[in-house]
Amino acid sequence: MSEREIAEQTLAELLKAGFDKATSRISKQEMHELQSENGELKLLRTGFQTSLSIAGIVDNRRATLGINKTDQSTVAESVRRLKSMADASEPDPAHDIAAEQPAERFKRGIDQPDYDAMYDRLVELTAYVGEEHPTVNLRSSSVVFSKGRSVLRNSNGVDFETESGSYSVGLQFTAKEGPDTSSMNFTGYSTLDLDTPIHQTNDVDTLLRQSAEQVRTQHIPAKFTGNLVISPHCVTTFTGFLTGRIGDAMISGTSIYEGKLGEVVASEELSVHAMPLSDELTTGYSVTSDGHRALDSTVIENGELKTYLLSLYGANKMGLPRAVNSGGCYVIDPGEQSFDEIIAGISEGIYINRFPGGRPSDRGDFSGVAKNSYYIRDGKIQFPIQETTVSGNLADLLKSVDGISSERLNSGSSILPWISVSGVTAS
Amino acid sequence: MIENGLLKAFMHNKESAEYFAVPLTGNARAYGYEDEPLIRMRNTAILPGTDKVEDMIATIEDGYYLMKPTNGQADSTSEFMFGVQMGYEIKNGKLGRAIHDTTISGVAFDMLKEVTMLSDEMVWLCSGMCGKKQPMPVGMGGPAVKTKVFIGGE
Repeated sequence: MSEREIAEQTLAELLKAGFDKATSRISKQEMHELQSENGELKLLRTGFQTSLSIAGIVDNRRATLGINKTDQSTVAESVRRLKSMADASEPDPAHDIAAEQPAERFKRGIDQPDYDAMYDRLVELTAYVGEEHPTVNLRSSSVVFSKGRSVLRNSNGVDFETESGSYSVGLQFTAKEGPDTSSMNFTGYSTLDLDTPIHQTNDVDTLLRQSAEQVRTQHIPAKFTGNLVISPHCVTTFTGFLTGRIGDAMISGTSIYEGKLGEVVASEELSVHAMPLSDELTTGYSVTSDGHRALDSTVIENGELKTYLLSLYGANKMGLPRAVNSGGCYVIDPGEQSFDEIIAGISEGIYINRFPGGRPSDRGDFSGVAKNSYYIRDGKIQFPIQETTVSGNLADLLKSVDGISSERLNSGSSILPWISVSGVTAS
Repeated sequence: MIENGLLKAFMHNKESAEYFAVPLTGNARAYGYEDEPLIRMRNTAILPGTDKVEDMIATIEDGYYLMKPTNGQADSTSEFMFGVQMGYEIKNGKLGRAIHDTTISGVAFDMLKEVTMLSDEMVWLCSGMCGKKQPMPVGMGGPAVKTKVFIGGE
């Protein structure tokens, strides 16, 4: 049976079981991975996965279920279980499914992996690291080709078919000299082709060089409050405080951004877009998680909050408009200064590349450790740092942006600049 | 793994055990059927001591009683950090005000050498996840531990 036939027959079963509204989505995923450990090729694997997601609403009671078998008896049993779950759930009038939209087929990316290119790029990376960064231990590196195909049908007539395929590259590394070890670091990106060497993509070479430098670190001279220059590798750790609190998380009533639509929530230098349809991004999407055709949107424009990121359920619950996408695929507008000019203007600060932090409070108070990071003094990057905690308030931090670089990194899932903020305490 | 302060063993998979010519330890674990087994923690615990928590608090002039962790991360440098969701100040041997969410950090080997008291009761937390390429459920347990760490925040 084809995916379409499975999706349609499952939908018919759901309606026959007594659901007022129902959705069925079948996805087939394929993955090809080549992996190297400590510079030695260790793994080539191929995986296939089928998943069928079903959801039904009856008398405002909703249930969802995911299974990985699609034979008729398993589907029939799952529909029976779903009905039983829905009957036992609390009714909520905010439950709904996507309204009818024109049927569409979406295709992104590539169909087949190029095993030779996957092998050549990994071997080339290992050789490059050995020659140019001999103290760096490439603990793990991988190239993965993934492709997926899904069919979504619902009882309002929604009929979307999506297909996508791309590579993702991931690296994890440390440097070692005698007894001294650098902090581990990692990075990754997505791409539609493997034409460019890995070390020339997504700032990988810079991160490898920094790892070699970070074998010997120093403490900052003393606690201070100053600037934090955030690299694209961890920008979303900081902007995620806002984007994570303007979606369905607002339902709990604890988001400081509730009621702030149209208000200034960040520095006027900051503009953030969610662009799932962008041709510049590899990992976009065409259909939202609740079954609507996705569109690009501007989340923050010159500091002003332009949209929430509410799903259909969240929108119904809050009495607000539904967002035109599910968030992610963030693109931040570039600034006018170069990265070097931003650093040159800072009297004291931290240049941060990785930030494992504690979960911030609802008010935005945060603290965490600056990893793979550097001390800035008198307009210059001075030395890599150790055991340095940075803390402040994330909502205030977004309002304190005083520099955005003209350079940006495209990781395939986002396009982000270097951002300088002030008022951060380092200790 | 550590007995009376002495490092006694490492975690291995078959490959690393063979490389170091040591017995198998059974630490290769995979999350999904399609995942490759990686060397991971299982259920890790610090064994209890003989002190009472109240006595431990009473010995501290100026410190904190940290009660509930959130996310955390360890590094190849042996630096660690984790978030703290619930805790109290300790002033002159007594619990004081509740503290905001914060982060603690330090160098694991240094912090473990600073341990001076262990409570006689231990608690298991079975909701942890170890993140290393794949997620992995892990269990962790232990008594209250008196030691020195760096507490972040303004």
